Amino acid sequence: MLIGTADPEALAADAPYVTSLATEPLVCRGVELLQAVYEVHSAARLDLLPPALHPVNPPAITLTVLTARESEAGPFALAETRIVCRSGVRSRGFQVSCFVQGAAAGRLLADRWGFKARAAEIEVRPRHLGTTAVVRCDGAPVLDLRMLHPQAISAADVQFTDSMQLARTAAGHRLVQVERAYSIETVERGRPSLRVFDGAALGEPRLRPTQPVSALALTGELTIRPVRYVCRADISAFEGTERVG
Amino acid sequence: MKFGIFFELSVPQPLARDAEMKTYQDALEQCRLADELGFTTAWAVEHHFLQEYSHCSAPEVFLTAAAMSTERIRVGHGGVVCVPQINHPIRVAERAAVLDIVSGGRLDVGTARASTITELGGFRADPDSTKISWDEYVHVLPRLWTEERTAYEGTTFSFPERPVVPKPVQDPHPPLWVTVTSPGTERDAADRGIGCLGVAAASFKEQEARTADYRKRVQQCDPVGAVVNDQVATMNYLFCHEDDAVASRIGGAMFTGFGLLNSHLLWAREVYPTPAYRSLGNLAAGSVAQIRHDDPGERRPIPDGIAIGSPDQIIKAIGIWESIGVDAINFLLNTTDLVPQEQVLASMRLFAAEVMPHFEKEAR
Repeated sequence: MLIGTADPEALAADAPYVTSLATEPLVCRGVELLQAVYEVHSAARLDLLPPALHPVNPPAITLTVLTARESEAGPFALAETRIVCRSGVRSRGFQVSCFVQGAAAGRLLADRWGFKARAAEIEVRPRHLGTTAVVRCDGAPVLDLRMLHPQAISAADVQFTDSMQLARTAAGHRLVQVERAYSIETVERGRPSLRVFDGAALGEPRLRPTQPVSALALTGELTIRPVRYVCRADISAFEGTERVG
Repeated sequence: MKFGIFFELSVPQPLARDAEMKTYQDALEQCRLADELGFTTAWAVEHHFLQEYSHCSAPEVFLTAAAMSTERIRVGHGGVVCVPQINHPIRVAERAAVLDIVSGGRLDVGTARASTITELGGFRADPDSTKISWDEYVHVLPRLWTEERTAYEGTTFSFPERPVVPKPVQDPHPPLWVTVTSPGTERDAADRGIGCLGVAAASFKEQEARTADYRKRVQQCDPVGAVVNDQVATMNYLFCHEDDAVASRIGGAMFTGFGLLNSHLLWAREVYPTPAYRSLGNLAAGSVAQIRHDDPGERRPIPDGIAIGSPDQIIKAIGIWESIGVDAINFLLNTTDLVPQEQVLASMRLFAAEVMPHFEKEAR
């Protein structure tokens, strides 16, 4: 069985410091989301994950871009890149980069859930031809993602995966399990198309998308739940999981 | 109750050619012993690209070797992937017929449609259409085995009239099965008059409901073949030892190891939203929500009904499977060489000596 080989110390160099894990949910209304899954080049698949996590075959990433019209932290937008992985036997996504537009939301997500939030301009534009999403840093696009050939599917067909987000805490480096619940109003699936993918700007230059898998666009409500579990990054989830609260 | 063995042919990491060779040689030795001991069928899966989990990508070749080194045990494709990008239906029919001939009419043909994006994506197959293609295969295969010449115009494949040769030895054709992981597939099996080949470890309650539903529906089936196969088989794990604690330790490692490898596969549903895949592969139905939110540190416990233990314990477990109407149990014997081959063979011998007679007596 394969396990990640990345040094948690090195990975945590730019991880947020979480002073107090979330005990209340963050409810986000009026959400428009575009998400794509891509296979990525396999050369570095073990080097990108800490020893607590296991890679999948083929290695894959999830690109998620969303805007929320309303939340307790105000309106905000978020774009993140996660590596599809396993924590124990559980399906998870390891967050390697995250951008947030909306300073208050960015601070809250970083301080309570360990989102690696950096400032950027983020837009999601639903179109009948297919939803588009663009992320710009200092005016330059780092991600331009489109969904082609959209077709309506049922909310029951969609499965979301929770995240593992590396954070620095008083107890040491921890992977924070970030659980999200979606209440879906509309959802479409299509074929993803990447016009721009700047791996270095997105936080991991070794990620090279090779093969599109799927894209989905949805509208609805997102709840980021209170944190229930954190895991040590250097050992297996079976040994390193800690219940919160 | 019939007892079979079931091969994924998993190979431990780091991968080495001699380890693959050993896995295949050990499996063939297990087939030979199973033949001597009275096991009914040796099943081999078809998987592609599933490093470590299953190196059984050419099961028809493995099963030919198994058939050539045994006399009575049946050989089962468990099951051939019915997706045109992976196996053309004519090639499936041809290979099956040859295997039936060389084995002297000992072939069972399981059908499947692949559940991982690793496999489907690797062949650029469309996950949305695998149920349709599977349905077309199970209707066409019996025709290819029984008609002198066959033509077919379908949705996922078509071909002009051709005489597909050779024909199988078994008359009218080998028994057809479908591997069952997604809920509802047992209904597809019943409606078409084909056997239900469970390859997911289901709970007693779930299997009982599935079996009852299957039995009811198969009575009104519209058979795809010239003969109805109305058997229900389920998958299990086997490690039999006089000392229950030893059995739990060694067999438990195999059970846990297989579950871990299985959970690390990239299931189609996880990354490709589609109604065609309602469950997470071999995990029991209803576990999707738990997979998302449960404690990542929690190990999957060995559930009731798993044939890991002393002969008495295994007799009790199989008794329950029998009482809910299961016709056959196919056992996984090892995972990534976690159980030394001598212990696998000893477990099979003890099972045959202490457990099998109990069910032969019951049958009489």
